[in-house]
Amino acid sequence: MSGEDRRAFFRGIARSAAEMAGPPPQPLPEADSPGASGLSEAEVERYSRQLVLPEWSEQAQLALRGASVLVVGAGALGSPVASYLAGAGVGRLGIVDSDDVELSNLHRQPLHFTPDLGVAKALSAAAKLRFLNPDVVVEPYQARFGAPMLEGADLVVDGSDSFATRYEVNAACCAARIPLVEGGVIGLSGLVMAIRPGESACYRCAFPEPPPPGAQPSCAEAGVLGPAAGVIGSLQALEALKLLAGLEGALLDAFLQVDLHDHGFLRVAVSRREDCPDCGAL
Amino acid sequence: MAAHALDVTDVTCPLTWVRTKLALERLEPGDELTVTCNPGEALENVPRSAAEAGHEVRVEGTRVRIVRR
Repeated sequence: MSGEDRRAFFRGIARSAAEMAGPPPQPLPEADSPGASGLSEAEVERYSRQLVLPEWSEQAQLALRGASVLVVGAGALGSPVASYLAGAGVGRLGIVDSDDVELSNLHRQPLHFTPDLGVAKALSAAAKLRFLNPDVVVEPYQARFGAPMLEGADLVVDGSDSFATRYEVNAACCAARIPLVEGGVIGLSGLVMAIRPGESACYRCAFPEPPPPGAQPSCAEAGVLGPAAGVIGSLQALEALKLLAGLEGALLDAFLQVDLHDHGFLRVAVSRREDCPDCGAL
Repeated sequence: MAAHALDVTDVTCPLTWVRTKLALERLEPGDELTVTCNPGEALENVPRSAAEAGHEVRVEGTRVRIVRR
């Protein structure tokens, strides 16, 4: 079997399996719910290892179920972000990516497999996420990020790979006052920041100007180790859960600088800027 | 103070405590929840977890009486 045949074969299997999994399900019937508006028995079991945490509660789980999160980028950061948020029980996930899966993506983007080569990343990611948790409504956007996608979103997690998109997402989230978790990774280093527009410093408060063109190598030019992206994306997912469930300790008015060469985690405090063009007027 | 009952003999750890924890979350402070446990793991873990969460706990046979804090 040639490589192309093998890919087509696996793609067929994946498609059949996705069809078997069916459309995104409607909310579960409440017949087996312990409480009228509470979690079903199946949900209690699925989420038992987080429900058991002292920090977590049925209310936190219900807040997640009622939440809509937009994940910008279905790549190295978006893969762990979307996987953990779907697994945790976020009710609706929008997945934004305009690219197709390429062979050079696979070492760091665990939502995509070799049979997905050539498939739109947003669709490839959505298929895996529906397998992971059929209770989550997954909406793929095979497009570049645009502010209209924020309609109905309670939170945005940015896993894009360019400064231009990052500033665009920050500005759009500030304008719509939607909480945002920013992230970036390159080589073995990265950065994470949680933002509540109008209440805490935004990405542009922390970094008023993007680096000049050519000063910052892109991930494609500089390279990145998959697990480093996994660490940063996982931290973003964690911050997203904290914001959605109202947990204490969100990374607000600060960014976390992570250097995995020597396992350095540095929390850098930042303040809102009155003259910030994105959030200063809020 | 209302009294409530819960039977967790049909599940195993950690669902025994998860079910108990969720039931307690729905009660008012001071309400009492009586949890029927299987001897062994559940009867050891449920009272311990409830005490660690700050609730008042009393074990009577296979019944764990928990007063929500």
